[in-house]
Amino acid sequence: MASPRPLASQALYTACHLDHMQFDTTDDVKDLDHFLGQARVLKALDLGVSIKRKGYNIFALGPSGVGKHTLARGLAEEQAAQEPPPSDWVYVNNFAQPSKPRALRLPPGTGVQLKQDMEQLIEELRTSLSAAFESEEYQTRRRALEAEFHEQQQESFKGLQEKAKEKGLALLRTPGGLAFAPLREGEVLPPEEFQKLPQEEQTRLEAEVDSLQQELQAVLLKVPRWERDFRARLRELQQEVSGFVLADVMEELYAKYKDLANVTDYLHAVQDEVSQNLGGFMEADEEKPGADAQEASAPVLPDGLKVAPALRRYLVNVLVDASHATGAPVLYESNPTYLNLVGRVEQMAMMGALVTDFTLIKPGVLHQANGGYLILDALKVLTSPYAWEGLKRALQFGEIRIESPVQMMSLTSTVSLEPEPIPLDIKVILVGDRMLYYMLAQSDPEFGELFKVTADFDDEFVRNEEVTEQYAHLIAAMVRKEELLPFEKGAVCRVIEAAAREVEDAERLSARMRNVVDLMEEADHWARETGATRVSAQHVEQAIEARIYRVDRLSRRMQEEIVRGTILIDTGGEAVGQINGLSVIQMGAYAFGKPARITASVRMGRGEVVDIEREVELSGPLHSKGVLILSSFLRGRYAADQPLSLGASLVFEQSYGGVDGDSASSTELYALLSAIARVPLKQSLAVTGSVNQNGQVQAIGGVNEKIEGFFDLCVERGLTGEQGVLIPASNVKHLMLRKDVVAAAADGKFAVYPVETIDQGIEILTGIPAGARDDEGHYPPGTVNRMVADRLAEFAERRREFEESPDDKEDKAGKDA
Amino acid sequence: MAATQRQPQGNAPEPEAPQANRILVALDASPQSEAALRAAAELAALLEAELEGLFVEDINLLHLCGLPFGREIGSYTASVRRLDDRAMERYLRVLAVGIRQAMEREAAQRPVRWTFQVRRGAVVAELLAAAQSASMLSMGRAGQARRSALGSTAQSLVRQSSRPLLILGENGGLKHPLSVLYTGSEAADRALRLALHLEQRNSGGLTVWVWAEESASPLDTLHARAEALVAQAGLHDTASVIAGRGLEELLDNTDTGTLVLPGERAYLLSRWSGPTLLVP
Repeated sequence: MASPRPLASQALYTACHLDHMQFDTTDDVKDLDHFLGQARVLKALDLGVSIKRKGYNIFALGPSGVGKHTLARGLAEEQAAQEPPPSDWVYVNNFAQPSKPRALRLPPGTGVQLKQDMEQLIEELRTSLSAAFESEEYQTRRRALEAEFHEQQQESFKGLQEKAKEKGLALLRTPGGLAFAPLREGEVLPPEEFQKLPQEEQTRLEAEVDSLQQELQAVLLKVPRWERDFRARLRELQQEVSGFVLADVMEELYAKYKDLANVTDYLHAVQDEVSQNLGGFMEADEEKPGADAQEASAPVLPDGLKVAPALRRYLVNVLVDASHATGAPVLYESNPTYLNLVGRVEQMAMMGALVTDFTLIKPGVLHQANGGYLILDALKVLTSPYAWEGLKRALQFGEIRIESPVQMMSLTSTVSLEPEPIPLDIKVILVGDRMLYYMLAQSDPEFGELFKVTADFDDEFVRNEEVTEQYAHLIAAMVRKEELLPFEKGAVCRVIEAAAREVEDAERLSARMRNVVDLMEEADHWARETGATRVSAQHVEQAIEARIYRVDRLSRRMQEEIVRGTILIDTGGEAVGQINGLSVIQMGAYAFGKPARITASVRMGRGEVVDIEREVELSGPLHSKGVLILSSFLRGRYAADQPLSLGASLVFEQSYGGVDGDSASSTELYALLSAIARVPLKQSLAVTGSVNQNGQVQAIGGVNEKIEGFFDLCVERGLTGEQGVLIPASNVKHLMLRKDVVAAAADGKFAVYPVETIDQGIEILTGIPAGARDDEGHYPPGTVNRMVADRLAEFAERRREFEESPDDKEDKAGKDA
Repeated sequence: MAATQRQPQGNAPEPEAPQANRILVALDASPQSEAALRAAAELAALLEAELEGLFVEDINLLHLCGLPFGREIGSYTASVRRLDDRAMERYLRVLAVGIRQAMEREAAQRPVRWTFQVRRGAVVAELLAAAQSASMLSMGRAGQARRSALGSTAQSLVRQSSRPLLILGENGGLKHPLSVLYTGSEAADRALRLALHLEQRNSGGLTVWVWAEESASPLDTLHARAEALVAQAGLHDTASVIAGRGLEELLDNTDTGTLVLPGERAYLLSRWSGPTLLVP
């Protein structure tokens, strides 16, 4: 089996050329007229926005920066433009139950009109009614009524008074009422004098007084009835006068709103209410100067409160005004708290108490977007208390019910408003990352019913000629949108290459446009810094380098420590049971490769391979799995017909932070084979790749960073031409290496070997053929596999000896390592 | 009338020359009487006069209590209650205390010397007697009953008082401007002089309405006399004299001020319920 050759430099970096496009700078490139890629999402969103059924709300999921908002909004707006504008919604007083304001649905633009009409009506009624009640006719008739009432009283009293006078008695006013007493010379007869009167006279007077008192009582008992009667007649008179005024003033309104049954009903209710509460208009008129003063002292009073309290009930609270809408609304709420979603009933501190009425009902974004589309960030909704519950309830019942969270939780039962719920017809588009979606789908049973459309955004595109071209168009559009300097063709290519590197794949491009735009903005910055008028590939390169430089403090430190010998890594020479592995350290958005020394030691044993990392719980499950696979490989290949009498230990040297992933399993296997066969490995090479039970080397992640990590160390120590990295052959398509690595490879100073099997790898590492079994199942002498097999057979033999004489077992096993 | 003259204080009434600079106010704890008190206090401060409050305990009520059929009928509930003289005495005492306190409060707001006394007897007679030693009498239009008609006590005093009478309704006070009805009678002369004197002290505005109907002199003469009196008081710049208009117009135009009437026109009180100064 021929061991693989180092990869040609072209394989290390798939450059972008855009040969098929003729342009100088992005100024010559048109905008992209459609959304790039995301066909699945487009289909889902198309269905989502056009299907008009309950529960077909949309969850757009994907990583940040792939354009979830933009696409969702764009499609929603496109659809909304073809839909009719939403209805106006107003709240008006419920005269029968003031605590339950009524909601009226009105054609667009009518809400504001009705509000103005009602304000005008109040004003009109105020003047007309006060004019009517000041009119000669009313005043005269009122005075006549009053006079009648008074006369009625006076006459009864006068009659009594005269009757008393005839009998020598007078009607006197006492502290608590009235009394009769005999008079003499204008004065009440003093008691002594009375005593002197003849007995008959005394008796007569007493009898007279008694009878008069009874008459007086009879009269007084009638007074309240007269008074009631008087008030009733006065009210009748007022009704008559106001009824005339009202009918006249309201006629116009009835005509204007004759097609709107709900408004007509409301106007009838208003008419009834006004005639029942004429007092409100009179008081309002009298209070006018006072109201002005109040206005001056409290300039922040809402409009509704500037109207006299008795008249406020006739106002109209416009919740949704669609007078300027051309299509259905598409809204995004950046702060989706419960109250911002469903609206609230505000309260005013008045004379130390909190008061409210229907004019203080404030709409939420559900009201504003009713009849259209609402885009929300799922995370923000979920992290605002009660917002998610409130949103779900509104969607589930198809209505917006304004309740404070406290009310919703039934925690208090203070008197407040219960505005009539408004029917909700809305399409909610939640935008969030995948984890949130899966979490909700799993743990919220209502989620699936309410968000039936899933728009799952890809984070990468296939990199082919067509997509690359579209990507260039997209870049050109971004340049214009962000007002950047024009990008030269080379710069565009460099940006596209960076987009490929971002997804760690030479055959894919990143869909996270936000990162691409960030890079472009930084390149634009460097171009402007140097006074350039266009952005060149050099500027993009500079931006990429600057970006790395800003975050690579830790990787530099580690490399320094290796160079200084604190961390032991060899980049030359040979050693048995020792190999350079490669790990990747992720620091936020930045990842870098770090070489690590892996060593193996063997001795006779019972076939256990001890992963020291696992023993001390510094290894993750994937790493442990890799180690178990490689011991299984050993058993399968070399100890099929004898016990694997090996004891081996594997260590990631100088690793203090834990290891995970199986990308070092092939590396560990090489170290182990070297230790068993006592064949030295080249320390100028580093290895990555996982291995399966059959000895095939499998793909791993972070291949670019790993190669660059080892390359940087070799450069620091000086490139010898011997150095290189073994990677799984299946990772070759992921290679988007740095320019300097590619250059070194082209010069033959650094090699990247694509490896498919363990045998290929061990040949490169040892320079000795691996060897294949002959027909009898033996490996040819002088091959690595033969040496391994022989050593294992030796262990097995010796173990058998030990087990036959168990006394010496412990002692002898100790010597062998 | 020279109301500014200072007279030594004394209780010797001089029926012929009652020039004691003292304003008597009839008090009975009604809102009207409180208005009368307020107006009297203002006037006393204006004229540097002494304020004298008088509460007459109505002897009729006390007599009534002593009678075997002394009962009152509640004006609202129409229930019959026995009147008890001890309770009545207590009631009158309480009233007097309240009135005295009201007077203290009112007087404390102005630099006014004041006295207060309680007499027992027939209300009208006592008031007339006390008025003999005063330069002016102030009282409410009616007693306890809240009505605009002139009460019986006020009616009696209007008929019998020889002193200027200030009559006030429930929310009244001495309001400006003053409107004087000038008819050329002697009382009218006195009324105009008094009004001019007040105007000199206060300058709240003064209008003289000359009215010649039922008068012996022609309108022009009356007009000229009124002008002369105004000029004599040095108020020809500020006070206006209007002639040849009807009484209705006068009553309409006096809306917010005080009406000054000569004694013989007291009947106008039934058509005018604002503050009125009646000069006999």
